[in-house]
Amino acid sequence: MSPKRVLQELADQHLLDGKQRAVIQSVEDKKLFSVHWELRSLLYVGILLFTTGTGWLIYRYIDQIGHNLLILALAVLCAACFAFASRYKGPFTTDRSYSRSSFGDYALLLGCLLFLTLEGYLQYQYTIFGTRYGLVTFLPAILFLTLAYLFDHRGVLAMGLTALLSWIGVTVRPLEFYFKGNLKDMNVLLSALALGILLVVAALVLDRRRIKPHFTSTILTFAGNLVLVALVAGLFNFKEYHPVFAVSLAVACISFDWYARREHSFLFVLMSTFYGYIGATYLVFHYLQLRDEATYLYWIVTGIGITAYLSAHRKV
Amino acid sequence: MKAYNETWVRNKYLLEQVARWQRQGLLDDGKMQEIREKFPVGFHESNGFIEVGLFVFSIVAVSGSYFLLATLLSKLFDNETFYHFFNIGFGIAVGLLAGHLINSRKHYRSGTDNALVIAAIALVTVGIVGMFPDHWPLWHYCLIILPIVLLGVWYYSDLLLTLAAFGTLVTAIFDYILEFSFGTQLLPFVLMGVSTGLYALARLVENRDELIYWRDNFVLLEWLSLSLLLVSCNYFAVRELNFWMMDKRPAEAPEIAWAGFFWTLTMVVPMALFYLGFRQKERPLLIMSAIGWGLALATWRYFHPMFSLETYLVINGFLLILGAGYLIRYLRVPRNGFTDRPDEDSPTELAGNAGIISTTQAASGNLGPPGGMQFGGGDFGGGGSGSRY
Repeated sequence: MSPKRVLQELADQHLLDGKQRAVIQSVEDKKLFSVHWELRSLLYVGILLFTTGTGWLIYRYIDQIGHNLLILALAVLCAACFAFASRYKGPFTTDRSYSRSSFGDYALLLGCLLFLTLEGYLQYQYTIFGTRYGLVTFLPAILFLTLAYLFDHRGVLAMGLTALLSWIGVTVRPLEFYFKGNLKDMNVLLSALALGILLVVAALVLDRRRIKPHFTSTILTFAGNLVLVALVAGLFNFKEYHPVFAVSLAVACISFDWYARREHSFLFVLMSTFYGYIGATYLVFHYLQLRDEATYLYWIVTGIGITAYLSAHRKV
Repeated sequence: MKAYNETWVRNKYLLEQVARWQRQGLLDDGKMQEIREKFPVGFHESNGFIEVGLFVFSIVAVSGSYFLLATLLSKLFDNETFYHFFNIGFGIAVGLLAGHLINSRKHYRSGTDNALVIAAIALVTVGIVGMFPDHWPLWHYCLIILPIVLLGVWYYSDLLLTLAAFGTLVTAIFDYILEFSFGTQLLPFVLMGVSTGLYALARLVENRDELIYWRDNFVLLEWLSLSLLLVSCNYFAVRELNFWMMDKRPAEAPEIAWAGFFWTLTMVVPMALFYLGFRQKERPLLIMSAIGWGLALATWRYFHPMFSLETYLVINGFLLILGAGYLIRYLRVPRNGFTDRPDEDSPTELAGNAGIISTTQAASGNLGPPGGMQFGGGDFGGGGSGSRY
């Protein structure tokens, strides 16, 4: 519906007087076309292409002359990015703060991605961390999380959390709906649970203290997926611990659902529903061994039940 | 007579525009309330995440019912006609259920109604197509399917059905044109013509007041037809199509007729889209022109590589950063009606989340598991954007 048509409609219903209508019309006539997000997307794509390219380039020319020059150039660029971001950094507050330059956030992002490339290279070529592989991911995790809070950057926060999950052996690739680790290993699974719970607690404490409250949902999304994936994996992989994992999964789902209702956060409703349903369905089919008709009946009952439940949630 | 209350749909679009003015401070809250009362919208408000869940679990319930009933009646399916009537009957029943929910629960694109509508139309279509002989060429069936799906689009204004209708039309054209001996040469031109025509049609009618019920469908059609245009004029796509249609395929795709012409189109069409988008200030045109440019460069690199892929990524990434950076600085003050200032239409939340997802993906690529560790275990769907709605 064109703005002109809407104005006409409102005027016809005597909801606008001539003056108001003229003001709105003149604002519409002078309206500018904003390409803010298009340009930022281009910048983003550029940064991702550039850092992916440099990452591959280093390994391709690893034995050739000029290779060290390339590393040096990248190190200088990385340092320059951090220097630029620091120079235009907004004053630190516990609430939202902004860089004083349009490019500050992007420089920080580019710097962090280049840092990862350089660090990976140094370990590959000179094994600077020796066999302490954990440090390769733990170091950037701590660095990125610190930078995220200092510079108020949700992208760098997500990178820090990704590195932290990598540290305990869980890989996250959201574009491929991919959340993977050796969760058949009880040690990895328990560390995943411990880290997940720690992150949930940290997020809630920071939220309560109003320290960067806009970070809470990002941290909880990572931590929630980690905890729920680990619990479902526990159900799948450790038959002898079914009661423990079943009860824990139920408690986790109910807690997330409760939190979602309190915070009006629909993503957490969806998360607890999906993981809960996967877990419950696995248990039902594992122990009851439903056949054809009973399987279809299970789909009907659960499908309608959850649809009704989610519909009720629409008004959270 | 449509599935959803047309006045409410119309009021919904009207209120969206009015809400924009309110955010700009042009209307006060009292006035806004007065307008809301005069133009009521009775639909239940929904949320994207809940819609996803509702869609998935409605499909689960419908599938369960379908298979249960089909298993119980399976003895009767020896008679094929009965099976087709069963599909049609079940589809109509699902459609009636959708209608009931839309009326009683005030659903509007809330996940459940989308799922039921898709299931209903799909079942009816399968039933009807099943009644016809099974040795016809594909495009015959497409021509049977298309009117049914279009009828569904007309009645429900559903976006997935729109996508299905578009897909059916393109498949029909594909299959029909390739029946001719010169079909492979003709096909790109027909597809270019059809996509341009559909785009022009969608642009022409998208703002028509009497067609507002289908506004989103026309906008989707614009995106779809522009994508088809970019693919159908692309040198790589045409050459591969030609290759796949050959009776005896050599090891490599051979050069095509009018190669120069298609190379020109590959480069010129994105430029033309940009010119039009710039002149008319049309977002789909501008965005698709940028994607078209990406495609054109990738095509050029594929056939005439000068450096390695990494070098291309580095150079193009660097140029993009410089270009975007220059434009952001340049548009600090408005020029030619363009500005870098975000406006009230900007998808701030969505763009922020897309950014976080792609950053995570990029970081994850550099954080591979430390050497030597065994990574087995199951795959689990997960991830998602972190945001509060």
